[in-house]
Amino acid sequence: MEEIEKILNYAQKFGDAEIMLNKEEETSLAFEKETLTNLNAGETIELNVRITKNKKYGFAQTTNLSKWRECVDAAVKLMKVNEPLTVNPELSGSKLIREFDAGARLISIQNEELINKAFEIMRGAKDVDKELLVSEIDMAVCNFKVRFANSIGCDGYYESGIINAHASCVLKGAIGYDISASKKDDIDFYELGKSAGKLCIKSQNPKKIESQKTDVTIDYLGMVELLDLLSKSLFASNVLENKSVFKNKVGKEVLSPKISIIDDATLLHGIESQPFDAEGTCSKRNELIINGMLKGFLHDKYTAKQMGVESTGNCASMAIRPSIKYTNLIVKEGNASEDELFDDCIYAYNLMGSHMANPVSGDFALNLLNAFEIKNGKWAPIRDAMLTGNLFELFKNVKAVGKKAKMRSGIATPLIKFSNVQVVA
Amino acid sequence: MDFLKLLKKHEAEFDYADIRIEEGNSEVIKLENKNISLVDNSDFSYGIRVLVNGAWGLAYSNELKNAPEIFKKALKIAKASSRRLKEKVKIAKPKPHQGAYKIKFKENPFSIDTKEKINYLKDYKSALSAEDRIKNITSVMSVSRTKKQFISLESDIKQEFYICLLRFSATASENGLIEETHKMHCKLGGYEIIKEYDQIKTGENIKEAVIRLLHAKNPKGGKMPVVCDPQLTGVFFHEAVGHACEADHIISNSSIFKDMLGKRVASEEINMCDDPTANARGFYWFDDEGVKARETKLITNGVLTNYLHSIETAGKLGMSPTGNGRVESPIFKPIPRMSNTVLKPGKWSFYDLVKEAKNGIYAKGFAGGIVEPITGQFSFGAQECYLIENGEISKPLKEVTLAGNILEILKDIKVGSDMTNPFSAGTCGKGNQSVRVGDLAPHILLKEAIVGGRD
Repeated sequence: MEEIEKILNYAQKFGDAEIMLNKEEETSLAFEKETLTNLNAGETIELNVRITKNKKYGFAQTTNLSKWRECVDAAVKLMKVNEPLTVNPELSGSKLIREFDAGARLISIQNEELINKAFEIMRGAKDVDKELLVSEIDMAVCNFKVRFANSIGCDGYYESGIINAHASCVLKGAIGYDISASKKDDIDFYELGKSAGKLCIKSQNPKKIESQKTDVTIDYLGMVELLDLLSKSLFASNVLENKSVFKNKVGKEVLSPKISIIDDATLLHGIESQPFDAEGTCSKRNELIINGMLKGFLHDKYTAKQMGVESTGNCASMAIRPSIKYTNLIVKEGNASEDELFDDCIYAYNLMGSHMANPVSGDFALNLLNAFEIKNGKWAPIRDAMLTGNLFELFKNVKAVGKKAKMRSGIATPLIKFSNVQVVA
Repeated sequence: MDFLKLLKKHEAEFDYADIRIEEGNSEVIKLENKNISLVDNSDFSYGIRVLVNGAWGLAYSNELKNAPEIFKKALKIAKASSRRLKEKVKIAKPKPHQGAYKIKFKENPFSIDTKEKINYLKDYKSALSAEDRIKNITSVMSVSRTKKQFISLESDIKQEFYICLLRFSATASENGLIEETHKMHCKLGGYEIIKEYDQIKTGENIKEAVIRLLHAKNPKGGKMPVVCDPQLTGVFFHEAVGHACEADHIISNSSIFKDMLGKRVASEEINMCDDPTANARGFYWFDDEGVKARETKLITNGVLTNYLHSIETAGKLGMSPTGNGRVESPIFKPIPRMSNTVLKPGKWSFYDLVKEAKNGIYAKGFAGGIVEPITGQFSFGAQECYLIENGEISKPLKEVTLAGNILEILKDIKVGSDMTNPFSAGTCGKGNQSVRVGDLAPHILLKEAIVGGRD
C-alpha cells in the first residue's frame, strides 16, 4: 500500500487530493446439485482518486495500478471542466488511523478446508431428509486491505476478512435456503444446511389463498428487503434532493413507536464495520429513529455541510457527491414472544421484488417467498401471494417486534409483525 | 504478456484452458438538480481457467506481471477440486476461431468535449425546471469502451464494444404525495446515438408522466387481463421464461422447464428466441468462451425447443453450445446467460388486444423484474399504467407490480403484430454477476396476471 504516498505526492499538486487504495483477495466456491462446479481465487486492486479545487471536483478510478498517473490526470481533467459545488465540503481532518478493533482480522482458509465446509452444509441438509437435494452452495472468503490518505495529513489503514455462505435445497418443487456471513470464521455450516433443509421440507405442497387484509410476520431475510428500501429515505442526499418523505420531519414521529433504528459502523464483528468511510471520516454510531421518532439522517461531508451538521461517516464512494450508504443497520429488539409473532397471521420467510418498489413514494408489491398461513398454531404453506402497500404506512402499523435480532447482509433485525396488511392472491 | 506462450508452456498439465482478458474505460456524467458528478473509470483484469482431471480451476488478477503465478494458482485449484469431485466436468469444445471485431461508430464518444455532454444533459433539465411540482431532475450519460480478448490453444478472438447510455428521471411532489418516473435509452455505437436522441422531448414526456402519476389512482389488486407494451413484454419474457431456459438451472433441478424439452409450455402463439446478433444492448459476435453467437430458438409455437448453454452445460447434457457462456468480467466463471430476448410478432393489432382484454390494465415501461425459477414465481414492475374498461383505455393508474406463475400465465397469451425495439438498458443479475442484456417484442395480452394494488 506504499504506492499511495507517491500517488498522493503527485495528485496534491493539482488541488485537495483524496486517495483510496483497495486490495482484495478472494477465494470462492460453488456447488450445484451436490457437485463442486467452481473453485476460484484471485486478487484485485482498485485505485480511487478525487481532486477538488475551488469547489470543483473530478473523480477517476482504475484497476490498472501501473496507470496511476493517467488516473490522477483524468481526475484533474474532469475537475477543471466541472462546475463548482454549492458548498465546500472540506477534507477530512481525521487523525492517523492505523489500527481498527471491531474484531476484524484476515481469514486464512485453504482450498480443501473450504470444500470441507461445503460438505458440512450438505451433511446438515441430509440429516433433515436424505431425499433433499442441495441444489446450490455459494461460499466466498474475502480479505481486504484499505488505505486512505488525503493532502491535509489524514492517513488510515485497515484490513479485514469476511466469509459469506449461501445454501439452497430443493425437494418436490419446494425450495429452502439460508445465508450467513461472519468476520470471525465462526459460521456453523452444518446448521446452515439444516436450516435450508428444514425450510424446504416445511414449504412442500403450498396452497393458494384468498386476497385479504391481515397481520403479517416477516422473517429476517424479508425484513432485510424492507429495511434496505426504508433506508433510502434516511439518506441525507435523498432528503436534499426531495426524494425522501422524511424531509423536514426530524423530531417528529414517522414510524411506529415500537421501531428504533441505528447505524453503527463501530459494531464489534459487524459485517459492515469499518474505521472510516470512503472520504476518511471516522466511523460513528448514529441514531436514526428512536421509538418511532426521527432523530437524523446519514451523511457524507457534502450533505453535512449543506445541512449544517457533522458527517456521520456514511460516504459510500468518492465518485459522486453526495454518495451515502448505511453500514451496520440495526433494528432494536422488542419483547414479543414467538407466540405473539406467530399468532394467526401470514408469515413470510422472504420477500421478492424490492428493487422494483418505489423508494421515494414507498409503494411496493412484493412476492411472498416460503410463506405460510398460521391459524390456531397450524402452519400451512401458501403460494402465489403478494404483499402490497406503502412502506411508511406499513412501518406505522407495527404490532409486535421480536426478541432476537440476527444480522443478514449488514442489517440486524428481529422478526416483525405488521397489522392490517394487504395480501393479494 | 504472451498468453498463448503461457498456455503452450503448461499444455501437458491441463485438458482444456482458456483465458479472458478485458480492458475498458468509461466516462459517466450525472446531473442531479444542481450537482454535477464527473467520473472516469478504467479497468483491466484477466482470468485464467483450466480443466484438470475433470475439475475447473480459475484464478484472476489485475496485474499482468503475475500471470505465470496466476496460471499456477489455477492449476493448483483445479487439482484440489479434482480430489473432491462427484462427477467429472465434460465440455463441448468450441470451434477454433481467430478474428477481431469492433463496433462501428461515426463519432468517438471519448473525443467529445465534456462540457458539450454536460450541456446536453442541461437541456433535458430545462424542459422540466419550469414545473414547480417537480422537485428532483436527474440525468445520466455514460459512454464506455470495452476490449475483450478470448485466448485458448486454438482460438484468439478480440471484440471491442462502444456503448452509449442515457438515463432520465424526475420526482414530483404535491400535497404530501411523491412520485418518480424514468426513461432509459441504450445503443451500441458512438456519440451519434446521443445526438440523435431528443432529450428535450423526453423531458417534456417525463414531465407529463410524473405529474399524471401524482393524480393517478392505485389499481384495485387481484387477477385480471393485462396488455403489456413491448418494453414490458421484453422484461416479462426475460424474467419469466429466459432464466428458466438457462441450462445450469435445468441441471441443478432449479427450473420449471426441467424435462420439458419438446413439450408444450406456452400458448401456440409464442415464438421466442435468444439472439446475441440482434441490434440491442446484449449484442456480441462471440460469447466469453469463444463460441460464435447465433439465434437460439427457445419456444416455437409454444413448444420448448432448446436451452441456453455454456460449453460446460452443453457437454453435460450432450447438446451443442449455443453461444451463451458469459461473464461480467474475467474474474468470474462463464455461466449460461441471456443476451437479447426476442419475442417474434403475432397476428393481433394493439387495438384488438385491448378490446379482447375488455376490463383490465394496460401496463407500460419496465421498473425491474425478478423470478424464482424453481417454483416459477415471478414479478415485474410497470412504470406507467392505464385502466382498460369495456375494451378501451381509460384512466391513468400508478405504477404496478405484476406477478404470477410462469407455467400458468404462458398458457394463454395473445401476441401483437407490432414488433418494436425499445433500445432498453437492461442489466441482468444472476448469482453475483451482472451482464448487459436487451429485448425486442411486440405488445401482448396476458389473460390473467396478479396485479399488486392497494385497494
